Amino acid sequence: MKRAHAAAAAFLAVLALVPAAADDFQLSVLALIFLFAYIGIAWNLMMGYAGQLSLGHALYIGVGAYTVAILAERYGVTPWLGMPVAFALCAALAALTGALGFRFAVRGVYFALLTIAFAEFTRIVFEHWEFVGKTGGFFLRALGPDNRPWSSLRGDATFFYYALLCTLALGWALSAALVSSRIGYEWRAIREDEDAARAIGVRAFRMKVLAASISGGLTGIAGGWFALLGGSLFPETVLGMRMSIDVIIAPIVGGLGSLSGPILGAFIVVPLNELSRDLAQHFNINGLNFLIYGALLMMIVLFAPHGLWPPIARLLRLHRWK
Amino acid sequence: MSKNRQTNRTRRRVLAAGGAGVALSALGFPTVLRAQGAAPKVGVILPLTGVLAFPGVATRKGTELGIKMLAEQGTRLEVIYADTESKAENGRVAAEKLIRDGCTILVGAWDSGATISAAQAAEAAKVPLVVNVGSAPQITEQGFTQVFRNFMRSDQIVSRGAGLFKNMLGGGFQPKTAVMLHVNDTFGQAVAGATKGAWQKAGIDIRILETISYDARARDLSVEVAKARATGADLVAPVTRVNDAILIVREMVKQDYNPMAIYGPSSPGPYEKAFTDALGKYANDYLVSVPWYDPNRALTKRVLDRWTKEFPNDRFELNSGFGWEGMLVVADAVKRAQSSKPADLHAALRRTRIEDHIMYGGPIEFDPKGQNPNIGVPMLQVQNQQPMVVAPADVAQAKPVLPMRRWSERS
Amino acid sequence: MSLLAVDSLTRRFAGLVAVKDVSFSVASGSITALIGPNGAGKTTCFNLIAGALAPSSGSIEFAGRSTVGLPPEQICARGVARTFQIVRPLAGLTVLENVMVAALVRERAVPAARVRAQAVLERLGLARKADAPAADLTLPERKLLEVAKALATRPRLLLLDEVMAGLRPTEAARITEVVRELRAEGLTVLLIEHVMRVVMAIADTVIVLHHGEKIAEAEPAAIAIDPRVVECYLGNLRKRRG
Ligand SMILES: Nc1ncnc2c1ncn2[C@@H]1O[C@H](COP(=O)(O)OP(=O)(O)OP(=O)(O)O)[C@@H](O)[C@H]1O
Ligand SMILES: [Mg+2]
Repeated sequence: MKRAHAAAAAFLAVLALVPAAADDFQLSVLALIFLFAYIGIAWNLMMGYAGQLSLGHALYIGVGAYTVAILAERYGVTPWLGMPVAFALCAALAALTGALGFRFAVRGVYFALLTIAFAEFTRIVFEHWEFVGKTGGFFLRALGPDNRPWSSLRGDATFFYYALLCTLALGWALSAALVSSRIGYEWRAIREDEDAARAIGVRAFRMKVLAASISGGLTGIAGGWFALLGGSLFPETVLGMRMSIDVIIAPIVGGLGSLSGPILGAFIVVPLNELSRDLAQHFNINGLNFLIYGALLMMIVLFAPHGLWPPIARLLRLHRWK
Repeated sequence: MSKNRQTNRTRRRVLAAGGAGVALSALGFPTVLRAQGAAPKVGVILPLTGVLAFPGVATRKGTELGIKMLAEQGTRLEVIYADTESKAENGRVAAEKLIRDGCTILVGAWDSGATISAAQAAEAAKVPLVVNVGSAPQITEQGFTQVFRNFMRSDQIVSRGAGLFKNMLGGGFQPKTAVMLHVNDTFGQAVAGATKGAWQKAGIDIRILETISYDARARDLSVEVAKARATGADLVAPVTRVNDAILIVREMVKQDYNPMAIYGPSSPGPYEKAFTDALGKYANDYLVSVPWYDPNRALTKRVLDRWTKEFPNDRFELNSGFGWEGMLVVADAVKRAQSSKPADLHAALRRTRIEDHIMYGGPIEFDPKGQNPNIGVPMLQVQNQQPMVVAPADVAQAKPVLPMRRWSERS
Repeated sequence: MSLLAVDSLTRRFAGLVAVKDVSFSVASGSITALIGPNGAGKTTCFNLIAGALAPSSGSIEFAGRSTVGLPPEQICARGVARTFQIVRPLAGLTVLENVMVAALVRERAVPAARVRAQAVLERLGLARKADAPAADLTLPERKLLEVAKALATRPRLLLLDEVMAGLRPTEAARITEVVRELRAEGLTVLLIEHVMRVVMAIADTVIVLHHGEKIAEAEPAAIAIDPRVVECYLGNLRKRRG
């Protein structure tokens, strides 16, 4: 225990010191890495652990984002409160989505389709809903000179770096506790064979709803960060299909069914995206980045079909602890 | 728990740290571009790929021509571009990247979402952001101190357009009813929403019988046009992008729907080369009110001449025009500031007053919110497959053709 | 006193009655064998008792309470555990983890479940495979794992579906021994078995199904000489299996 804690503390200390050496852009990219790693972990609880494929996580990003933004902007509610509200709302929404699907035994691809349908439905509702600004979007005011980042949860790159690092650390710790508890075992049993799991007493329905709900709730908080980072929200960008796909690339590249996979994935995918954009700009060819990014992703999927974490874990002889 | 497990966990963490190192060194790539020159670095954020790439690239071409022409007049600007990939949330990272690469003034970001996202970073770093295109009212209403917008708010474009349109009524052109057709996106909703009020305010006595919206990705608008035709309205008021504008006119021709006029109350589409190329004679007589270049100014004529040489296959229009003027604003501030420090450039931008520029309207200056209040809106009509200014009289290149000719009478 | 009572149990599939009006009861602490030719409806009976399938009609009472309509996990929680004829290991988990999941029905804490699971693996001779992925097991080992998972749920009634089939004699003997011990500890066992030697050796009562119907119920010695059974089942079987 002691050694592990010391190592963890050392690692966190290194990350805590990074801002002293990095510029704002690098910090922003790292903050995005933390954010995508965090969402990847949340999504992976549902997919990699409980075996339920969601292709509609934009629903929780979007609802979380609008919740935090509208509460702050319209009602002056601090995001410190907005975030828990976003969590609760998204957890409830996810539980509802899950319960509907699982109740009627919608499994596999059909469940994935259902998650897309819910997200798209919500996007269309938001695009026609005056209260959230319709397609015109919703915007946060600019920060005043008296802004205190740790109270408004908005600030410069260094602030977001630390805030998202904390979010990732907390999300990781919570997920680690969950997956090593009874719940985690039951999730994995469901993932492997739901009927066999039920035969040995796993309450599959309840556990799947729980997985969806925790995953959705955690993703809702990530949505809140999207709002605070960008200051502008549009149904198409936060609730659209593209968002649903963007957030699952990191965990897929990193590898499903582990907590390290999504983190590794985010550390690869986000910089890869930036790097390919740099190359496109360097050679002055618009769209070259998509080509490079796509080709690299294809190579990863070809050579490491189960993601990059498992082979790395094997290399380091960590295979028992996938 | 076994000790083995602990050390493995630790290893996992160390590995993640290694990944961070690799990532950071990879991101160091652009430093090769960081060689310090005398000219201040200007970061231009645009949607160069994705759904907004078409107007984004048009804006970039205008920007490039601006850089070239201004350099010939003695103001050298070193420009770095960043692509938002048409994603609003990329504005912030793009801005931070440009600032990291040494840009002390930013220009962008064509789309309102990306502009606000970029403004967050500009605000945090106290680097001024000159908005070249971006019409959401919020850009100048959210309290940003670093934003200078040389473009018009969508609601103002609509109300100015309404004033012009009112003046065209009379004589043989007296429509009583209208039907609106609008693309259901951010921009379409905003414009359609503002139109009714603007017409009322301007005293236009035309009843809007119906407002029909359609998806931005629609491939067929026959149903929508049939619905519009069924209202029997005298005036069709479309708010479009370019493809849907083409679809609407094609359908109107097909269904032989001949209203007294088609008038876009602020909308891209009809002035684009793609529109006139695709529709030929059917493109003619379409009216639209948008910010536009002033065709009579000497500077505009020089820019147009040069444009034809540099980009013979493209039409100089609103996006390239404001792209060009964005550079004019920057160059002017740089010249007066005699510095490349963001604060000095900011102070210079505050005192901007440019009399000689290309877009229609008064001198370029910025009010306390950072908005240029002097931008004008002329009325354009497609004539001989070219967008022509037909009002107001002081800049008009041609007389308006009203009511529009029936489809069957075109030759 | 009977632990399990099945009355007029019927299950239809499209165009086929797999279990037809079957009634029987299993005495507490007994070992009961369910035999019959292939397709007789034995596994379907198990599926009905364990809640994997719903009966078309009829009643099932376990420990005096009806279990009809309960989902499998609740029936398991009440004390009925079953093995699958076609083994269903949780392939991505280790052997120990497989058994731990089952143990977690009773032991709410993970460490306690681990201890319990290790004990069960020990008892079945699978302990040395504890950390192997379940996917790596041989067929006999998978059969043992089925039994281990079922046992780890601490059942009162254990349903064993052809666990001896495909096992080597030493392994079969081990399971037979364990089943005897468990019965001595008070566990009730209902087992489906084709290996007659095993049935004769350990069953107190034998129930014979044929075409979904119960055709006989008696102690092993009597079953062996029941003319109907000999005719429609054992005869076939002797011919087929030599
Ligand atoms: N889910 C199902 N759907 C349709 N038919 C089924 C289903 N399950 C079983 N059957 C049919 O019901 C009959 C009884 O099958 P069951 O598996 O209960 O037989 P069994 O006695 O266990 O045979 P075996 O000794 O081969 O295991 C068979 O004809 C089988 O094809
Ligand atoms: Mg069977």
